[in-house]
Amino acid sequence: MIRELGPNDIVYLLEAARWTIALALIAMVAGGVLGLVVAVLRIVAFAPANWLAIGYINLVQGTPLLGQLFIFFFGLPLFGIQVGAWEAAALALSINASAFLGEIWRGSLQSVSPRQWEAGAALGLNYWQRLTSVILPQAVRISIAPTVGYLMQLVKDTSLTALIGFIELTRASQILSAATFKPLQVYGLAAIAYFVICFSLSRLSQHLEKRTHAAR
Amino acid sequence: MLKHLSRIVSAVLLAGAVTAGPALAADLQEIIAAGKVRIGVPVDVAPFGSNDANNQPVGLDVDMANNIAKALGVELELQQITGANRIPYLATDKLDIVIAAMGATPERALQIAFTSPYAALSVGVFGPDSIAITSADQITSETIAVARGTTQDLLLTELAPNATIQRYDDDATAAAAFISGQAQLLATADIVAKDLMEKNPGAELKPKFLMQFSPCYIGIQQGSPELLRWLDTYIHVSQLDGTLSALSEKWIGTKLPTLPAI
Repeated sequence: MIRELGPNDIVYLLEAARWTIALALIAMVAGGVLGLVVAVLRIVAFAPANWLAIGYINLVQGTPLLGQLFIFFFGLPLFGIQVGAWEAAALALSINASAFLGEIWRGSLQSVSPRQWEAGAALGLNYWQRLTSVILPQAVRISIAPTVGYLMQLVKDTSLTALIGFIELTRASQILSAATFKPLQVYGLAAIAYFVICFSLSRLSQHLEKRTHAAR
Repeated sequence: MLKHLSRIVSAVLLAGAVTAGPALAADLQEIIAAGKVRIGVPVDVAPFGSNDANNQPVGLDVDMANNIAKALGVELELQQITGANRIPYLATDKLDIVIAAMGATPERALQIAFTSPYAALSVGVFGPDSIAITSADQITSETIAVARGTTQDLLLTELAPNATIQRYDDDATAAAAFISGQAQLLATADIVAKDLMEKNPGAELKPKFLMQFSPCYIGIQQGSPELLRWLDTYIHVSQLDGTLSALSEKWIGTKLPTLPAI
């Protein structure tokens, strides 16, 4: 009944790690696009838009990701919308990422001194020129470290989708551990896989920080 | 804490499912007309369902699912489920049938319907010779590791109120807790204990006491009387012609005793 841990199982874990990476990538891209919208709504000079964005951020940041996953996976079918584990996981993680990324980018934009806007105006630059040539390059550099920090968190958060039965790295480890009764070895391998993914991200972050040409 | 939270969330969602009126269950004729049956099996509960060396699901429940689809004359859509989501999967119409070594309880029967039992395993408490206990009420200072939500967990909670029960996600982590010394006793199925002793020479898993010969039931959505009747008929016939007993011998290593119908 209990079987040995074999080389096939490493392949199985690596295959499952693809889904961890794919899920994190989708949440990064979709959450990033939505996060930009949130950041803009948060700082635009129009109070109702600010309230909407603040409400959204509070709602998403104030509820657990697991609860959001359950609501999408088990809640949507109650309204006649059939979603698989994959769609529910992608949707919940993207929305979660949008609130956090939106807030990080809002902070980065606002942390550039307002005098930079005034200085740009004094040089005769219009609004768009000031935003793209003066403010954004500085804001982007400020945002890289917290953004990548959050993305690493996101990679590890994908493990929660194991609870709705999505077979990514953590769920594959559970299945493998149940068949071999070797949880320490199996989860150890999974931890190494998570580390490799997150460490690559952090190296990418350092590389990007060096490459941005903004003044420091 | 997360587990606790997920339980609350699923309870709230299930309550919502009841009030919002869940999707109508697919009864026997709809399944036959659709030409496929959606059956959920575990992949983390050996010997009922686990992944083999090629990472294909195998086990008693997987065989059972194949046999049922064949007898229905429809295609099998096998879905891997977890202990936490097997009942929500039925309640939200993601599955027609769940075959997951499930014990029947009146609480669970409020949400889903159970067929007659199709298998049984004996669960007990195991540990080293140095701990001299012979019944649940003698457990005082020892810590018992058990897989959460299983029959053995429910029984222990009731029989050994003074014991320190440590609940783990599955048998594998509970066994790891025992082997690493985090727990002095292990509550599990006797087949698991036997196999663990063979694979781990250091592990001393002598039977202390058996709690129950616990039957396993198939679960389906409520509101499918024809499917329920058909499954009961199938189980009845398979018990009479020895198919179920052969399955039990193949996976659990013992003949199936005569199980009363539900």
